[in-house]
Amino acid sequence: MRDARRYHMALGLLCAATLILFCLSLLVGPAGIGFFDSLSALFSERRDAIALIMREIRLPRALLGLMVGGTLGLSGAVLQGYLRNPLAEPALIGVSASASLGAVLAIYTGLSTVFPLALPLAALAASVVAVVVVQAMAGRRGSVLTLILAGVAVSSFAGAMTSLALNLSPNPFAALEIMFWMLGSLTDRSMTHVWLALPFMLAGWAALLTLGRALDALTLGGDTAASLGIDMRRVQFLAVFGTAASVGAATAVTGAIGFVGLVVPHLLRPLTGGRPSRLLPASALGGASVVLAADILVRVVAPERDLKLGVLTAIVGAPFFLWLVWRERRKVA
Amino acid sequence: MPVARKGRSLFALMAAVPAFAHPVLPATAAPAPRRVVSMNLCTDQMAMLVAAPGQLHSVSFLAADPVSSVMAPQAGRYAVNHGQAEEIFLMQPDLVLAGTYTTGATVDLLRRLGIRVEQFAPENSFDDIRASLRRMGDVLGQPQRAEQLIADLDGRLAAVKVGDHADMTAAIYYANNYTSGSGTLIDDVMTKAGLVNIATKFGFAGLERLPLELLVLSDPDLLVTADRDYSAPALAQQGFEHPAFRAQAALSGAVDLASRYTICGAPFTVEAVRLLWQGADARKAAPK
Amino acid sequence: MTLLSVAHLSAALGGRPVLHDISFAVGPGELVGLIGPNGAGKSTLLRAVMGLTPATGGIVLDGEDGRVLTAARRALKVAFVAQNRDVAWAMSVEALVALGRLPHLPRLSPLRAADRAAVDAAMRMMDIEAYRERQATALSGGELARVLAARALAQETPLLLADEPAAGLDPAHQISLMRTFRSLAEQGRSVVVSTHDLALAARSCTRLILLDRGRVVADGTPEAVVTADNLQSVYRVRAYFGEVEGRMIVLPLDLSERT
Repeated sequence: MRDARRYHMALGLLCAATLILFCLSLLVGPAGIGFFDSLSALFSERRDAIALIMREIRLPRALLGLMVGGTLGLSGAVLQGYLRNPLAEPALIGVSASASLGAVLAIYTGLSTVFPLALPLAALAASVVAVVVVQAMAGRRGSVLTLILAGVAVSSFAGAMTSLALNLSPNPFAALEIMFWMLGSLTDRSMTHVWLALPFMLAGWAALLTLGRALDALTLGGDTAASLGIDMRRVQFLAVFGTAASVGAATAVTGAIGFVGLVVPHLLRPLTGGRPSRLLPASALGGASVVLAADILVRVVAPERDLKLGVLTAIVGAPFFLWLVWRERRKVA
Repeated sequence: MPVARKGRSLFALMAAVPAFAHPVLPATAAPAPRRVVSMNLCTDQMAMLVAAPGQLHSVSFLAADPVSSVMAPQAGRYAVNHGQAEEIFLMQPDLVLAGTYTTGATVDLLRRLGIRVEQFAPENSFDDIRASLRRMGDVLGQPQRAEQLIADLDGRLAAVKVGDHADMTAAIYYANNYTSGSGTLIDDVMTKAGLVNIATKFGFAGLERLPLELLVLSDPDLLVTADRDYSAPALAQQGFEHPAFRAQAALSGAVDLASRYTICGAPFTVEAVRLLWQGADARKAAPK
Repeated sequence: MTLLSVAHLSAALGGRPVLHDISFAVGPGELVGLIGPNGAGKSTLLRAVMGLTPATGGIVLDGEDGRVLTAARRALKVAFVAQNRDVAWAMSVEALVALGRLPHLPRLSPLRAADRAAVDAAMRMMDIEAYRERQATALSGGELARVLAARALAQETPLLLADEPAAGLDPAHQISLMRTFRSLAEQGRSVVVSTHDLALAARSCTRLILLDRGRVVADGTPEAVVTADNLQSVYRVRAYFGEVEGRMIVLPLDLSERT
């Protein structure tokens, strides 16, 4: 089948791109360290400044780029498949904003300093609430419109509550960190963050990756999927829990990065023959590539400015989103 | 994002007054003001030092915050204001003291209501501190008290044995990875303590971001941290918990400098010089 | 022996009763046409049998209690062509028909030779082999209807339920669809089809069940169910009845007088 060959080639290219971008991410930084120097510092037993920079600053940054990007791509693909809607995305339906709120509450109340796991757990709980609320408002056969409206409502509310929590904090810096929570950044994240997020992301990925067949069947709607032996309640649980766990953990350590989960599945869908099951791994790799690339660009374009990642992803993603909405509208008309 | 850069310091300054200072009029001929309201953390503290008893009526709420204000205990003796035109007008002051970095609207409004407003620029060096003290003495009609404070300051500065730590480097690290380059008060503080500010080696002037990578690479002899002392957590302080930062802090000597000594330039800023000098001394005694 | 038996089935939608005490049984070899006016409960009945709508009463599918059957196990016994023909993604026709094989595939397994054969056979039966590579979202309504029917055929279940599968098809494909269903029945399977096309149902089905306001009004051979009286009382139409090549012809003509 020609379809399958094209798909496998796309997967191979995405793997290569992700790998290259991961390595590039390790090599880019204000301290201009040479190629071989940096790689040897990463793998040797050295304990000098360069080794410290590579292992404690750049490695966690690249790893988080990989993990967070993969999470966003994967969850975007799953949400689109599950809600049968190309406009679904963790940020758009309010999951990211809610996870931010959960994380903000855990951090700024000081809870996470006492009990570090409170951070990903709070983000997870808040994202579950967001998905459930959006789904309840949009209904089983929710139209594009109700879904987006519900997402906007949940996002705005969570965003406002985040701002409120940060403004009320007695720490004067807190109010300035709204940007981080709304736009996301990988700057100076450490291995601590990697270890904190990884178990939740792994659990989330495991849940989401089992959904391939169910999402394929859902192409024909919930009734047909159920008639094909898909346990819809299980699918709902796995989709909601998997998204909440992985996106929650990602947002808890890097803030909300928008549009990746929207754009990536969309661009890759044609290469997968429209099959959601094939889209899952492709979209995870694509998401990782996009976030790694964006994070490299942030460092190359304006190294002294600490640009937020979400700024870059929105510059590409927002016009794309508008185009999608326009196309959807035409289809409905 | 000037606020993010300066962190608490600018934040504190902004909580009070306007951007476009009117030309400063010599305040000599006028009789000494009798009911003075200060609406900026720095003018608060300087006025508390210079004013005669009963002359200063109100200081800003920040003056009572022990994190930002050295003179928090004394601030309790005065009425508190929040830098809003209405409350200040109701206090019926004959002189309002403000900084140059805050809401122009408030100052303009007060001036239109016929209140005399004197604005003070933030001090970026010990010379600035002397000039501000002198001017504060003039506007409050207390020139002798100001001269006394300046003499005091010079005496304490002279007591620091400059030259003991020749060539020792230091880096100041604020929340959000900001550092101070040339032309800043902390840079002058470092110089007075006999240290070379690493930020000037990078050619930094004013507040600039110093990426963690570059800090590690520059490997200063003394790592000075500020903005660490907040009761509530924020991401801004997470940089101080970063493994790479902690590793570097363990390599360098580390001094935590309470930001209240350097947010405002005042006679008490000498305390910052003494703390750095002390840290450098300890570092010299126990090198890497 | 029955493949499907429904006993005293009742169901409500949004608090409004839709089905009242419905009982019938379908055995192998039967092609049952489910007819009745709009809102009679045809779709709800099919959905209730599929476990998609909550209902009270008994449902037995191929000897097993439909109420405790897992979704995976039910999928091996009964296939369902839903009325909703919305296809979410631009999937190829072949991939879409192959979805019918999901219940048979072991975990993570790709399509095996037997699955491919079933998919090919289903596409041949529905005359869609020519579109194999085309995207389902770019098909006409009638073409898509045949693709979706082929998807259910590929499931190769003893029982097939189809909710208005013939709607939107051209006459040739309507006839060939019903002929396919008939031949499945002749192979020993059971097919239940809901339809508004009385003529098509009367001509093709071995048996008709007439629903009206949630109740079974008539159940039997086309000749016994499609009578002037029933059309008059249930559909409120007058019809022309005839016979061509030994088979019944019915043609609704006009609204009947209110009685």
